[in-house]
Amino acid sequence: MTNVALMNQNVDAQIDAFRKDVTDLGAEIAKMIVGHEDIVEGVVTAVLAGGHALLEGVPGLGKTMLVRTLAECIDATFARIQFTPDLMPADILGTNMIIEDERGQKMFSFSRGPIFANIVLADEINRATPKTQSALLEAMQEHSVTLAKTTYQLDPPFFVLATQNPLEMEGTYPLPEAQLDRFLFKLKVRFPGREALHVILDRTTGEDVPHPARVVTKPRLLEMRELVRRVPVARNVQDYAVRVLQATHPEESEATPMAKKYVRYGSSPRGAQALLLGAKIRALLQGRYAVAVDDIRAVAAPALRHRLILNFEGEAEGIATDAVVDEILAKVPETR
Amino acid sequence: MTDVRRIHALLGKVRRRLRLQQALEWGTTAAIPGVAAALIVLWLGRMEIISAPAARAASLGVAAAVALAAALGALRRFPTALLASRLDRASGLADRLGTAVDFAARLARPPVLHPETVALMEAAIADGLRAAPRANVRAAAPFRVPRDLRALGAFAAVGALVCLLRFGPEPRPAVRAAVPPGPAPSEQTEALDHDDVQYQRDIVDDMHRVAAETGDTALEEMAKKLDELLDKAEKGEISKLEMLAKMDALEQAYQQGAATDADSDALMSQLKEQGKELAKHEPTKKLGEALQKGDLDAARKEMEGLADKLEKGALKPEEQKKLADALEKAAEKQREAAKKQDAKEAEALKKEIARLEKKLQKDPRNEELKRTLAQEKRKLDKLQRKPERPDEQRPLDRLTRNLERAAENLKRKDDEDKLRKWADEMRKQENKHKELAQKQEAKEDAEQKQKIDQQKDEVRRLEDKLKKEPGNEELKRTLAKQQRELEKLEREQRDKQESRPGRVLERLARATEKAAESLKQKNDEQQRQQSAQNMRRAADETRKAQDQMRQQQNQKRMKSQLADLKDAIRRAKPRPQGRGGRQTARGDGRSERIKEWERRAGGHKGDAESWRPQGNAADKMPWLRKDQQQSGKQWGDEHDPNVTGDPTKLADAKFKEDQLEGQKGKGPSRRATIITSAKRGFASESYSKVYADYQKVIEQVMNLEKVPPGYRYYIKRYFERIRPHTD
Repeated sequence: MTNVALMNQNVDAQIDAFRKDVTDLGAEIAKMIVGHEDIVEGVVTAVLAGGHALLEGVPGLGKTMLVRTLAECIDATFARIQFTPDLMPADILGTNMIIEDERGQKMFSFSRGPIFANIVLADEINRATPKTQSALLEAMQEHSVTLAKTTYQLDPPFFVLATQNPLEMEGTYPLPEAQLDRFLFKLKVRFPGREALHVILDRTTGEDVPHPARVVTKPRLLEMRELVRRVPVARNVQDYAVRVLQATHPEESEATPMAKKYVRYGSSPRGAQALLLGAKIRALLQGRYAVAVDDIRAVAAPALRHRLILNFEGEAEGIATDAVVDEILAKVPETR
Repeated sequence: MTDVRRIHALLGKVRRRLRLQQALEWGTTAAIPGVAAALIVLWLGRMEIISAPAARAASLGVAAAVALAAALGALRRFPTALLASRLDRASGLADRLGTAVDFAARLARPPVLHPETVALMEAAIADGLRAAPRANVRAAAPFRVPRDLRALGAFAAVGALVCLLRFGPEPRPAVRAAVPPGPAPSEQTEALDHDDVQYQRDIVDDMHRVAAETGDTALEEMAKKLDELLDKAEKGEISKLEMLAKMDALEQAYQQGAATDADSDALMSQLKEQGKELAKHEPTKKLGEALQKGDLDAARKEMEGLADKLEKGALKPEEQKKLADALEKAAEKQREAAKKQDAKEAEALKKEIARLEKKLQKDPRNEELKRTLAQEKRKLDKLQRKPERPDEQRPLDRLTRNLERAAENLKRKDDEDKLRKWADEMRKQENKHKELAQKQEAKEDAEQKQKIDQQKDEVRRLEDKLKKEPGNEELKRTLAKQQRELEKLEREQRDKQESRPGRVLERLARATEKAAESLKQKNDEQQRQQSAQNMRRAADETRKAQDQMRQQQNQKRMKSQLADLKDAIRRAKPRPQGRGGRQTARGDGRSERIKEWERRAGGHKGDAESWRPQGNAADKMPWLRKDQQQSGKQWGDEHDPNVTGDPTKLADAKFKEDQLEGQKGKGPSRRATIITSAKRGFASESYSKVYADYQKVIEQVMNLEKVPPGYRYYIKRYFERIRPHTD
């Protein structure tokens, strides 16, 4: 057997293992979360891609439960931050405190905040002030925290999962564009269907409360992330991702009519990164060795919807960014 | 593992199908302007803006452009990525083939990749190859109906309709002589415009005049019939086509009714030569002089005078002898002249034959040339055998002559009565033979005419067919062939008529010779009578020659006149609604006014009323009040509508007749005459002289110069308009 054959066998094995682990993870989460398979897939994809996810939905749909369950399924530390208007950056990042040692000498000691967990739930992130929200910027992008000229590296894997309520806008602070751009995906949690509600009620009001098992360790998660990043992308498929991204910019020739009419700013390059990473994971999950155009199309909405900034006309007309993305997917040719 | 030829083969199939489809698309799209361009070419061709070969070339160009567009469509480049994407999408292969082709290309290039990435790429290629059998080439590149096919269909339908429409100028006649140019005659019976009919009547009037001058009854008869036809045409009782057909028949009848012989000019010149010889001798001096002058009337009278003298015995024997010598010499001279003429013709024919043979050597396949050469050779042969001919062809004449001589000799013997009876019997037989010969000739003529008529019908039928199918090359060839055949038949008929033994001159020479022979016999009473009879016969032949020459001249002239008349009829416009006739719907009396103008132009007094609207005063001037519409009796308080009356009309004036003397002298200059005529009319004597000069020049130019047939009509009509009015 040649090296190439051996390598191929190894690849197949890796992909099989990847699929199995993800399937197991999904199955464990499904014990706790019912009727949100797409959200679960999105969250798991974001974790595997090394990105962060923003969940948007009304209260009581299981957003926090989802994150907690994920944390339990992965052998990782978990922290929850309830964002409130009086929440301060130090409440998230941590602070230097004066302590006395045994000899009675006073000294500064850094007390780590909840950000130093592997999985951080930023619950109702839009309730905190922009100052507090921006405390997350460095941590989310650089995976580090700088305080009093000292930088502290966060322990990988680091994953922020934020939630926000779209209804209660009073007393909230919408996330700035820079903050939004740092989320790999924005997932919209919708109200579950009748069957799903029955299952939820059965599970939460009965005697037996299910407990998810830990199926993925931290090292395995990192391995899986590496595999994801090695999945190759054909040039024409990558070109499609680029053209989709360009189509979100009203000034580009690729822009669709809606993008030209309602979009003020299109997606940043992070949008294309999100597209490709999400597509790679989808390809692996479907047992393929390379990304297809359909993978790009599948992840386009969660990857781009929060990166489009509508203009006044778009806002006034109540245009959803999802409609713009749908039009882009419909009109941008798959091959040129 | 990186061998993706199987995938490339599939992509090649897709490419071919796409190119074929593209060729169809582009070809269909290009065919739409192609059809439009073809229609333009068709229009240009039908309107004769471009020639038929140019139209054909343009049509081929259009077809070539469409084919080129299709070829360009077929040559369009389709990137491999595009083909692979189409195939993947159509086959539901999730970009496996496209990815495999891309990775294979990337792996062949130097950049070093992570081994695990390479392994994934190779796995992707293998995956692509495994998926290849599932590729659906037909679904990836389906053959569709070209999107512009409907539009093309619509264009093609419109084009076909336009092709079926008959438009454009009237096609030029293929046989120019048969159908002179001009607007095609309409089959509808429409009354012709008075103005046009007037012009046609002028031509017919000219025929009447010529017929009266020359005593040509056949021409007079034809002119009368033409008058009747014109009456019918003016009333709208006959269509142009019918009229032209009837005119053809009349012309043919007139041409056939007249005997044909050698050219009248040649005949006259030979008679003059004969006259020269006769003028040398005293007894025939006057006769010779009359012939020299071309005064055949005087010559005839002189011959009759000589015959009278012979009958009465007024000539002395010496005078008779001199007369006999003179007549004999004249006859000899005549025969010599005829021989010379024949020799001259034979020489000309030989030259022509030599020229044709030379031409045939260069072009041995030219059938037309071969036919012409054979014809010329036959003519030459006929001409060379001519000296033998009198004996061979006219046995009856010879018999008569010998019979007469024998009778004269036998008269001197006893059995005169018996011989006279025998001679009478022979003469009867001769007449019978002559009748038979004439019948045979008439029959041959009729057959030939029938053939020509049939050929003309065939040519017309083909021309009509060609009008409907102008692009039919086969039809054009057939038409040309039939036209050649028609020309050949007409030529044969002409040749036949030319070679027919009319020969007035020969008959005249023979009569003269006979008279001379008689005179040389013993001078008794019977022989004198015989000589006088022969002399009278010669006089009669002279009269016939004169008539024939006149008739030939008339025929020539009438041919031209009839051609003008036919042309005028073809071009004649139908009378506009409400404008024709003396009393029209509008009552404007245009024709009356035209006649009035002609009268005035002719120098006659005009009629002031003819310029007024016809009808009562109320109709004439409806804008006037009732009281104003009455003619006034007193001046000052009433209105007379006749305010624009003829200023020269002096209704209640007392006339005083004065005799005015004409001015004598050189008269006005030519220029002044023309200017005056243009202002006052064309009736003055001076203008008649000017016009006579003009007419000569016109005829000369029309005969010699190459004036386009279409212009001839207008030139002739113009000069007809400015002709001096003598009525």
